Amino acid sequence: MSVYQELNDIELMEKISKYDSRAIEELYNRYSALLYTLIKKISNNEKLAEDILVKVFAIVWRKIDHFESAQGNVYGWLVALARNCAVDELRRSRSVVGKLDDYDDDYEDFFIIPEISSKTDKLDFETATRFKASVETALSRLTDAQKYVIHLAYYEGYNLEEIADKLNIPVETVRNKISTAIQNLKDQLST
Amino acid sequence: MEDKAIHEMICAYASGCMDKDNFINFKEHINSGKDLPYSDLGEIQNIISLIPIILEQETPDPEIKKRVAKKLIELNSEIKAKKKEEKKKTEEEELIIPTPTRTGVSEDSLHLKRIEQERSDEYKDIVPRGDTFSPDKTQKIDKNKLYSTQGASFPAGAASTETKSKTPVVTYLLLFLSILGLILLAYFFYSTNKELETKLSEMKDQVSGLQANFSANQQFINRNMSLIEFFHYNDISVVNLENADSTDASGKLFLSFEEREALIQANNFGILGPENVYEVWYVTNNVSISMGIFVPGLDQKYFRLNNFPSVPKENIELFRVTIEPAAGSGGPTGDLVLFGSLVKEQPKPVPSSRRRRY
Repeated sequence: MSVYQELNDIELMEKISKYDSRAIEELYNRYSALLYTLIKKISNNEKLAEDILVKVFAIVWRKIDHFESAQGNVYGWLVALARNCAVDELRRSRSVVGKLDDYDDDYEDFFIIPEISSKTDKLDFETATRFKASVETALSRLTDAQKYVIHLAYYEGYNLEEIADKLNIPVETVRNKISTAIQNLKDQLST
Repeated sequence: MEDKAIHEMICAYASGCMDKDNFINFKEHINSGKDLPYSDLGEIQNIISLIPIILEQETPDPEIKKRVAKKLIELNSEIKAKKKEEKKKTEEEELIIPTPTRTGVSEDSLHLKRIEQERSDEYKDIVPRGDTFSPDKTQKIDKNKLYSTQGASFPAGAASTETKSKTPVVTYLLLFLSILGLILLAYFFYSTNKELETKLSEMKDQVSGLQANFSANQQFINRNMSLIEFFHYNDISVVNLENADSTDASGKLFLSFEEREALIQANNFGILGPENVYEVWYVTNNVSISMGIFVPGLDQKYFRLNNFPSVPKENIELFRVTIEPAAGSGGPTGDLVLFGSLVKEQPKPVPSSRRRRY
């Protein structure tokens, strides 16, 4: 086992912030399968998923200073980053040309790179994996409607109004369903 | 009711289904550090991030790892350039020394805060707000707080008075230090210059000595050049010339019979009048044959005699140097100065192995 494999996620991120290529290689080894699966689920396109995965790690390398190591939620930050990249591509493919903003550095900083609240438990890959069974159980206990709105929001990248249009229900109802679904998940996971 | 609305907003933000305008407002609100249940937000962000953990994980093609590595290498130069630019920018900013305030907050940091505030105000004006989320009130309060803090941070009058009272002392001190520095600098230059001048003088003397040596060597070479050149010939015979009169004259005759060239070394030869020359002869079968003439000068020691008449060296009985008329003569008529003969070579001993037995 290499020295880098023994490092935790935060230690890896600290080394990446000093442009240590072996650290990002270990981060790739640790997270690539999860992020690739998530991106592929969103984009539903193998080739595009591969491109987005490359893009995600390029962002980690370029914009590592946006990750606050003190905050330390590496898992949450990476998953949100990968999800944002994939959803942005999906939205662009659905959108009429010229309607969306140009993808530049400012756009990336504001809309793609996530900001995770520091006032929460720090999640790393190992901890998140331990939650797998609990999350499965919690999700299975949601109503079909709740599952569907979560799916539309998280994997399909629709916003509240788009979901409301799609389901032909008011925006407030969608907002409420998402909020309730998340609260249920929270309750299930905390028991 | 309001709590519920905030909770719904947090859920929409964390699950990534907020429309653009509300997203901008919400993120601006977070960035400004204003009132929000941040622990709720963090918890919900964690829950949302756990959703994909249940997916059956698929390992990407190993080629993707190579593509990532290649991409990162490509980015390195971009990152370096960016860092360099940032460093340059920082250095430029550091040149402007910030004015310290009593609260320890620099003018620059307050200026940055002001810019951030202005930026958030810009968004506030441009972006329409959603019905359920309106952080306008808190923003206004914070803005006022910021400006009031600024006011407290700049006691301009007191600071300027204090500065004025200290100014003359500081000015004199600076002036004194400057003069002292200049004196030290001048002394340093003076002593260094003197040391260098001494060294230069010593080096000049050394160069003069070397030049004199070189010149002497050159003269020696020039004087003996004829002899040096003559010794390129392979067959050189030497005749020691003996004095035939009461003068101090002496000399040697160097001969190359193959080249029919001779070189005479003339030591202490008397200076002749314009009507006379020295003439060198060899005698064979009692007949004197002229080898050539020479006129010694003050500095010249060697004289070349070219193309003397060919003769087998064993047939030469004698060499002689006489004083002859400059117009020339058929045989030696004047005073004999030097004479000499070739040293007869001893037969080489036959090696014992080659000796014939009788």
